[in-house]
Amino acid sequence: MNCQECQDQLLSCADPVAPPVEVEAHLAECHACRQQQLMLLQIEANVARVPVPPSEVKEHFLRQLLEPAQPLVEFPRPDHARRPPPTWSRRQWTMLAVGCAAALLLTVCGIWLGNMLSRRLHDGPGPMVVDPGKGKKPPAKPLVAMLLDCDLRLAQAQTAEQQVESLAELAEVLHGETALLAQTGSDTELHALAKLYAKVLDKGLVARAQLVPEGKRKSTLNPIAERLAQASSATAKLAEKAAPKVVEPLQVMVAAARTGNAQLKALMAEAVP
Amino acid sequence: MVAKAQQGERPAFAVLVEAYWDRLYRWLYHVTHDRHTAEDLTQESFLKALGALDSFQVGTNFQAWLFRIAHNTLVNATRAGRRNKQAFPEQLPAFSQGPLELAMTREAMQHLTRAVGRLPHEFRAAFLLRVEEDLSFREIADVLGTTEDTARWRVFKARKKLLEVLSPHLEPEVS
Repeated sequence: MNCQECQDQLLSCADPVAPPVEVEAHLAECHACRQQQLMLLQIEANVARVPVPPSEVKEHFLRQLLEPAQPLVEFPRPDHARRPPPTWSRRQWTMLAVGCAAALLLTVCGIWLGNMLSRRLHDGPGPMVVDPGKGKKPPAKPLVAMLLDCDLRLAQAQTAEQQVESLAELAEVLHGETALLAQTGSDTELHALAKLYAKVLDKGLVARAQLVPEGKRKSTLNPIAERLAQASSATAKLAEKAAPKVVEPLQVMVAAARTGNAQLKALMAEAVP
Repeated sequence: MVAKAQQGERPAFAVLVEAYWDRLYRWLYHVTHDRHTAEDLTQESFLKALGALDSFQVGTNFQAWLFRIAHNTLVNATRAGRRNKQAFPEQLPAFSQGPLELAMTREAMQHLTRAVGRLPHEFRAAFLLRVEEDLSFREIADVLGTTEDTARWRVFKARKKLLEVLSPHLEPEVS
């Protein structure tokens, strides 16, 4: 075996620590090839030290996985354990009950958030104070009104697709409000918004998305998944520039949007034959 | 553990997530050079794995199966135009400690980081599956959807390229 053959075999063997016998024999006699082997071993031993930024969403993913009330995707069950497909009326009742519960929850959260923000506006001047008498532009629609609009649409939604779209709009309202508050608001308000945002996505949007009929999943969920990806990316950028005290709630929102995006994609993938 | 997860035991699947998340994320980061993309793909891969657990054959290599799902997810995402090719990131966390007998200088580690990052995508993916994940050439071929010979050739090319680039910065001591 010559040096070229030895080195080629060294590079193509599974483990250069234990090369084929004929290569070992050549290495025992050839200083240059042993040097090549040692350099290769040095490279491979240090590849694991090449740094990678830490992943920040694993814990969030695990928490969601272990939360018993929210199936991420349906686990395969033995045939005898499978429930019969829900009848239309049962499904309607379920959707109605879930819709009412969500509407109630969102109304309460919306009013509470609205009160909190209104109180802040009345407490003193700040960047978000709007005086309709003096300002040239019309005042922005207050958060509570926007939330109640979404809430009303949600309560009126007849189908799972409509519910999912209403919840996606609600999530976008909350996301838009976050962008404003990240620059001007307190971390307490942002924490509250971030929690509500994560809850709307996790307990509302994703849960309801599972009820969307398979034939309509792609057309309904794909645009929402794309918007969640954009929201996640925009919030991550915002977090990079934001004050340290508001970074944590922004990261909660990034993780919630990414997880929501991944879950919607999994639901779409499930629906593909 | 996989068998328990197949029975629908979420804690068992959580153990698998705990065991493989960092490795899968690390490989995807090396392949994509983007943290957010790697995290998204990792999440998506685990969700797909969870949904397809009944198709996994107990007794085969779960890691190779999971990485194959991840590779398919990456390929689909790339086809859909969601992932753009990323430049190699210049700012990375500090290096960790390695085995003393094969340790590299800080400068050599920087060269290694850059050289691995600049390997052609398909060579890098195969090389890291061999060196970091200890997969056989057959398993690498399964993950990447290619033949065993091609997997071996990609690892060969990656090693050759790394040696060319890095040998001026290495100081092996041969007795």
